[in-house]
Amino acid sequence: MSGKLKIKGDPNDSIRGFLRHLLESGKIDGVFALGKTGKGLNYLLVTDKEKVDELYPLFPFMPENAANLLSRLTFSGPLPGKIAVVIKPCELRAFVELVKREQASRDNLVFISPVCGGVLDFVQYKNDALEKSVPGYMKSFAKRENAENIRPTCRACEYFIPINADITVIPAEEACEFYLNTDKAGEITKGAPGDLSDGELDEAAFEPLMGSRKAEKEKLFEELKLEDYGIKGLVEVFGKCLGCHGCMSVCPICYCALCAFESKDNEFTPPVFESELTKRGGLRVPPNTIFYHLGRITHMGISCVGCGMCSDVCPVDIPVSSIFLRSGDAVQKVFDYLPGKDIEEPVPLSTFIEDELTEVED
Amino acid sequence: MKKTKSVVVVGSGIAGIQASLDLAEIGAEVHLVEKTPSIGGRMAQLDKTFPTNDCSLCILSPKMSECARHPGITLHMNSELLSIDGESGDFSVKIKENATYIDADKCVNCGLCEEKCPTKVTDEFDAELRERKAIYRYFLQSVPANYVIDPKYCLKITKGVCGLCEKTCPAEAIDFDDTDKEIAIDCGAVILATGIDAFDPLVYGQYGYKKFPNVVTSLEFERMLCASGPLMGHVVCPGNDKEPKNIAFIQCVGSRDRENAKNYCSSVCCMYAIKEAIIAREHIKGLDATIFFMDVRAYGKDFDRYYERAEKQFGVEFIRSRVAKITELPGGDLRVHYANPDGSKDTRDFSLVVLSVGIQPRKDIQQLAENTGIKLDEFGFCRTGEFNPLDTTRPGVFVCGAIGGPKDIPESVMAASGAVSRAAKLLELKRQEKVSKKEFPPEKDVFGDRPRIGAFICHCGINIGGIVDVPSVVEYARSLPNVEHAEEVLYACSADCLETIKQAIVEKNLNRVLVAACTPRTHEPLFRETLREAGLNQYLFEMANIRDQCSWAHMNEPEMATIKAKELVEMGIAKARRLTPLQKLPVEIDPKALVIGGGLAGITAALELADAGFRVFLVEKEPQLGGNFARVKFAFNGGDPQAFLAEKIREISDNELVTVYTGAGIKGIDGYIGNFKTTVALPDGKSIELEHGVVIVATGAREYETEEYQYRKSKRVVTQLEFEKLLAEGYLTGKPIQNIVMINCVGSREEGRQYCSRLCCAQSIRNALKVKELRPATDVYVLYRDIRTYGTKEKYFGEAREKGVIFSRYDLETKPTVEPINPENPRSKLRVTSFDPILGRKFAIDADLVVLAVSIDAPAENEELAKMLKVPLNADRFFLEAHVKLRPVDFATDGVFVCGLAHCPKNSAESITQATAAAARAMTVLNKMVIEAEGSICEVNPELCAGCGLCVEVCPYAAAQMDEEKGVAVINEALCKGCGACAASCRSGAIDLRGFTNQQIYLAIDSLETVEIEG
Repeated sequence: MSGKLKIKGDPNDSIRGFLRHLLESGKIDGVFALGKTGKGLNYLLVTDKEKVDELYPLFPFMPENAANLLSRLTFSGPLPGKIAVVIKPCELRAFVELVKREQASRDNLVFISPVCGGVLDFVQYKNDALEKSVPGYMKSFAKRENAENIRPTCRACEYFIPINADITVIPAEEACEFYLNTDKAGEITKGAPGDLSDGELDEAAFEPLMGSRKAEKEKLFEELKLEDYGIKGLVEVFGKCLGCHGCMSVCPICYCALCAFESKDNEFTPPVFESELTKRGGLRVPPNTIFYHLGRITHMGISCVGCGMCSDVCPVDIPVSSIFLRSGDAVQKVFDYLPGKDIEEPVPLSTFIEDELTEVED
Repeated sequence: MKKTKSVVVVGSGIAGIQASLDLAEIGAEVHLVEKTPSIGGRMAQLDKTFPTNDCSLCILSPKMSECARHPGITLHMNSELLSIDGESGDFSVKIKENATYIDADKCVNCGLCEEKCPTKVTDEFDAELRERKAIYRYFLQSVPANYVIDPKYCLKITKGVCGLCEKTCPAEAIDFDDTDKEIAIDCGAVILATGIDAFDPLVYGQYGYKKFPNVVTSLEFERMLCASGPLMGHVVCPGNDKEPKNIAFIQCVGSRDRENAKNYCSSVCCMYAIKEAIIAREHIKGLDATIFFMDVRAYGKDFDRYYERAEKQFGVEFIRSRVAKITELPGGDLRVHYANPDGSKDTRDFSLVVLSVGIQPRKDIQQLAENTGIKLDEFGFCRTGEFNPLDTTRPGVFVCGAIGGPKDIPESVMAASGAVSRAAKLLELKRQEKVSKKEFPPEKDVFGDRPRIGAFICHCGINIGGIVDVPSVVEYARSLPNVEHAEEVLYACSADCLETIKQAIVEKNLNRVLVAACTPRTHEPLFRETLREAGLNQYLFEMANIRDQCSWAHMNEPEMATIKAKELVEMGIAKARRLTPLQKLPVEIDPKALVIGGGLAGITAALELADAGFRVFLVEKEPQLGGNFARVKFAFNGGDPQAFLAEKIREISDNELVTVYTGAGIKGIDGYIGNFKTTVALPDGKSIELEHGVVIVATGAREYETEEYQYRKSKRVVTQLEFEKLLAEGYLTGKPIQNIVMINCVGSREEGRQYCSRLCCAQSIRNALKVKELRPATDVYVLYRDIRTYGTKEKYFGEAREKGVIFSRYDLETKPTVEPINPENPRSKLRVTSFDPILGRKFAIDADLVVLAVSIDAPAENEELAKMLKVPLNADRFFLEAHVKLRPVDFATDGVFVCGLAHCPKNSAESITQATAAAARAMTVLNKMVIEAEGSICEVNPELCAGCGLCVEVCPYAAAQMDEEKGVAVINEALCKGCGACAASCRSGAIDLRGFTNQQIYLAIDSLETVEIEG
């Protein structure tokens, strides 16, 4: 199925019209998208078509990675009705990773995802500057350039065109284009307002943006110099860590029921403190800061989508997501694995191929 | 007739070892008779094994130690079989134990005697590439490990002088008064597994073996490649000590050779040559390897893929040519003279030439035949029947391994288990009530007690003590917290030292024990048993390997080796502090079997089990039994397959222990070893539930439904099985059939089916010979890619050529074409066109009939059954066994076995062998009332589990499963082997491996001195 629907109006207006129609026609039972609560922007799940007005589905902001929320909603089984879900490409990829790990269900969900110009960072949010930043953001996006004030990992993101979305949206000031990628999309769009025509997303049109993203990624890695860290570098960078575990709680891939680092298994009992102190003569309290971060990198690296949540919530500005993006990129390359690409593709950790990684043998 | 539990196995290669282990597991008392000082046989001499490139000794040695340790097996080393008297079920076997002049119980393998011995002898184990002493250990990893004296060369024995070894030996193990002994053993059955010899290529004068030093045999080359061999794996040409630039392998040396009375195919040489070529290329960068061959016989499971990888991935060159002669060039290089396919002559120069020598009956096979009263076949292999491949001509005497004809390792292992099933019914074997034959004192409760650790540091003679400063390690251990006792021991594993450990446990009230010595792989069971004898739980034991990791790895840095030994001991102590007692879970066994599939394999397995007294359910999806075998009309030896089948089906219906469900399907299988529940759908729409302890998968395979060569379009095109039916119905009688064209490899060995269907070459030739027998005037053409009449079937290939069957080879790129001569006429004869590489041009035959050897396909239903049984399939959808070499009928999942075509293509004799083997393997379970699961297994903390299911996917034993209701993983304790894969995969830390908990491992790591890590 392929097709293109053009709806006039600014991005949020046009998609609201579209979603309202879907709800009215009974083709969907609810919408999951960004919306306003007071001064805040949060994800909302609405079933009343009047409430669609409160939604800002294409706002360039990510208060929490939606994959996390969708996992909570669908962990014990699919939602009872059909839900249109409007989320960013990286959120969709993270969601696919969670489905692979039995932490979420894709059934009954229709995914609508924009070609993404990145999301504005929490500094803008804290300073109530989100609204002000949008016009500049849209202008840059229209020019297919990186905008100001977006997350560092967004600037370096090469996967801004959604993978696995039923409907891909190109937001624009005057009119948005909705590309129908799946039969499901074709089915529910029948009779929708706007001009329906043939057409497929022209990825080539985004080459300028891809070019600057690639250059930014190279620059980011170059400045990070992760390969030079060693134990010393890790101590240096993570020395600032407060141990708040915020990065863990916002990470979409961090799905454990109880983190080993917060469980009793990791408690230092008095005798352990004693023996550690006998040996080393001094200890950071609480201990295991670097172990915590290394543990997260080894567990999450393969599936890291680079959404940038972890850096944005870090109260002490440790570039957590840049470090994850860099190390994730390396391990994903080894297994030729792009997180969130294919729902059927097994997680490399769960597969064993006999003549794999021969270069590390001997 | 009195019945006995005893059985004699002669020969302790892989076949003899497997047979002994299986017999002992079903409760027999096994006497294993071996001529050399060690068990292990040929397999111990090999470097790697195809097609997985596993290290041969690495996979064999655990079986060797298991065999030596098993309380049901008595080893008779350095012994020969003299005679078998009596009758099947009541034999009296005489053996001679040759004097070794060493008391094996006293010898502690320290090697001091060898150092002192002045007499050097060429070593036969290392293919005469190395020298040993007159007192020697057969090879480094020998089992038993003791030294022996070679009386042919010992100066004390031959000349009455020397005796240095006796003076040196600290264990007083040497006894020059030792004499040969004759022993009589009463037994119910005898299994012969004496193996084969390598062909001696001296008779091939044209290849210059022994004349040109750079011409070696494949067995010599195997030792050259081996890391523990005479060259330590650094291959150099023997003539000039240079690393070879290129190597030629010459195939069929002593095989497929009528002039030298070797009119059979040795079956293994193509594959081992490919393996040696690949391994040699891994050893030497830039090496070129060329294989001169007649046909590449890569007929086994996954062999063709290995062949393809050798050519495409490793760049091994294959030249189809018989080499005429080899000449030597100045400097030692060799010139190989050979003919091109077009007949023109050519030469090529090589640094090294490897003769792929065939296998032949043992030199003394004639003597063995006389001693045992068995008959040999025309080639000197033991004579067996096509439908009873494990029985000799003497009732009660069975064979396994290559003594009955060329076989590779898995075939030998299958035959070994098969022979066990055949022998078992002649023995008095009751179901075993207890897991262990030994009685142990009750276990002391150590719960809540402060750790009191005993550390025993082993010198292992000079093996460890020569490098590592053992007293200082003891001193260090003593200084560590919770260590109540530390002591050095000369040989921790010797009987007196084990006694010392037991005494210390009692006297010092120890509740944890650490032994720093060799490897837990071989010795842990011994020490664990010692703990049990002293009343401690066996899991309160920890081992530090300071031999392999310290004195061996750092033999040139004794100080560093000592520091490392201290660190390893400290880590062991740290872990030992947290050891907890673990119990092995007893699993009761329901002594009934389910056999899925009622073809030849299923029928055989069911009957073997019923004959041994077990209740069997046989489920067949078709309305009648017989499977593919019901369509086989002819046998090589002139036997009647259908008469044989009818007899077997009659035996099944007469046997009240077997219940047959025909027209029935498997709807679901639940449970685990000893306790399965299977729902069977019956033809009347009802279903029943069967309870059983084991499952044998014998679901077979089917003929590939090809769309090539006008099949199903012209009535003149049939498959080989359809052709057999035509022949049996009188197709040739009184009709002027002029030309029959057979096309081989239809569907096999190409895209989508990258495997050889194995039996079709022989089947085509058998049917071609049948045509020649019924109507000699009919011309038969066989179009083939390689003729793979492996083993003794080779003679029929020769016979077919003699009888005028015409063979023409084709390549995948130049497949033959089949077109109707008159397309208008549906009954038109067919024109077959093919390109013959020897003629160098195309030719056409107008065929009355085209017969296709279609490939053997694994049915799609296998996927469903595999899911139900939680067992894997290979890429071609055949069932995948636990280990392709050493566990060819088992699955990794306990209690489930496979045989017949469900496993991979094979002929009827091979199916019977494997089915008989599956029955024996099943008996090793069924003949026990209870088995013990492993104690060191994994457990899930449901509080931490996120239910992601990674553990389910990585568990090789199907022990990790999801509790769908609770959304968390659970481990089936009966199935878990304690490999820890799930624990490693669980990022939530919800899974712990008992005995290797995260906490124990962290503590061990933490106990290490902090070392500055660079970068």
